[in-house]
Amino acid sequence: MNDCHEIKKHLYVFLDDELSVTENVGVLHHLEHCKLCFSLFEQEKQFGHSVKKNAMDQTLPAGMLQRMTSALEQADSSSSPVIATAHSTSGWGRRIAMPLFSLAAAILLILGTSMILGILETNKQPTRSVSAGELAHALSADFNVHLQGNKPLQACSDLGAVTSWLNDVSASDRYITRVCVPNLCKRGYQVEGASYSPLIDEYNTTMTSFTLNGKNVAFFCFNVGDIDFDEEHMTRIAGRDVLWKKQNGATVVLWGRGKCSHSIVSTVPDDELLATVEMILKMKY
Amino acid sequence: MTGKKPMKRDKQVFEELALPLLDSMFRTALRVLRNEKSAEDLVQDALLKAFKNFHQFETGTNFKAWIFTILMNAFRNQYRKAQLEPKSIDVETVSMFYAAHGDDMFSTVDRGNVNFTSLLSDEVKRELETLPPEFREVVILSMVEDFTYQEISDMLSIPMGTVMSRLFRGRQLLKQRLADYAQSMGYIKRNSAV
Repeated sequence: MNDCHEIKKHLYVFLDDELSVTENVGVLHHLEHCKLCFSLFEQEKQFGHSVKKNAMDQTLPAGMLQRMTSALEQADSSSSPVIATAHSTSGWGRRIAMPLFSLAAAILLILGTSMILGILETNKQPTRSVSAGELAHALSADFNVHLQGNKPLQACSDLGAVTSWLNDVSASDRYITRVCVPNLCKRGYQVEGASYSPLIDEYNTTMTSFTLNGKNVAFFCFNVGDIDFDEEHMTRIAGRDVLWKKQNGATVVLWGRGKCSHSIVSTVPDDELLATVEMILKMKY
Repeated sequence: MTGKKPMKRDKQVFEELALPLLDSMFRTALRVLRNEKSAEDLVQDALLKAFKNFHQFETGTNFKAWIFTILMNAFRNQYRKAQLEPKSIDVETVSMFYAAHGDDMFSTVDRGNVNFTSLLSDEVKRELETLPPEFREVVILSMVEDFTYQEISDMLSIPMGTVMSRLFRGRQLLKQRLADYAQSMGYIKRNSAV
């Protein structure tokens, strides 16, 4: 994709992260060498950021949250609970139903306790066998962020599968998924059980969790600004803004810190990526 | 599953998923309706519809896209039919926009010397709100709320090519208007040379 006309045709789609991996790489390559197209790209990027930032500057009307929760409360109470309205029990029916209900409750209690104990045990002795989706949930709890939608994705140890996977990913910031994971796959790393998890927080965080040669890894990527990641427990890698920590049996990588969204620098951290990956693979946990 | 009412435990799950999205639902509703009270009513309507149909939400899929589909449907059903929206231009005529404009498609709004970072929030919102409705929807859903073309296509029940052409044209219109405004306010880059 060396033609300026072609680049212009694809520019918005590129900015929206809707191009295929191959097309994406083509546009990036052209932008690196064409000042005019790069200037247009920068202008469109600045325009897009400005529109988003200003449009998002909107507070809820006073009391709206309370009014919404009240409306939900009212809707919930007006819809009869499923169990309570299933049958109208009386007489013998009720005498049989109550012990059965108690028995079911006891079983649920035992199962629930076992599950809680199991979870506690898992937390005490993290294993590498959790799925990428489970890892995403565990880490979202650790970092006090909410999963917007955890999308379990197919294993992607070859580029074709990765391309298919990326086309299925939805969110604004796909730096990790668009660039890092394909690069890893192309270099022969085994990336499997990938799970892409857009998170809801004020930083528009995204997280991608997967197994890398059998090790659990989660990459966090931030659109803007800084975030209170406890840096005391992390180490810089390759002298750049790549920080990691061990969390919940996985290596968590904090990437970008404000320079990873829709950015031409997407091609730069390739060496950082490889340095990071090599360090992850050497870690013992 | 049809007719299944939300169970007690569902309400908490629903609230955990939906309430953090109130901000984005409200600002989207406000931009398309341009009236705070109507926007809140629309959000409440969508919220209750989503809660009622929460059992239809497939765990593991994108909740935001799901509830926004309900929001946009509610908007279309209730407000568009009531003709509260002004008649829009025929946006389908721009479906061949790419082909028709060729190399010049950015020329009308290529304002390399405009500093868009100086734009004021009120001006951006005002220009967003005055875009033709069809453009406005896709511009807000894509540029502000970060939905993919496919999600917007599903949400608005329009082909993905239409999403792209509306988004392209909407962006161009918005940029042109904001560039005019920015230039009139003197928001010019000191060094605009490329």
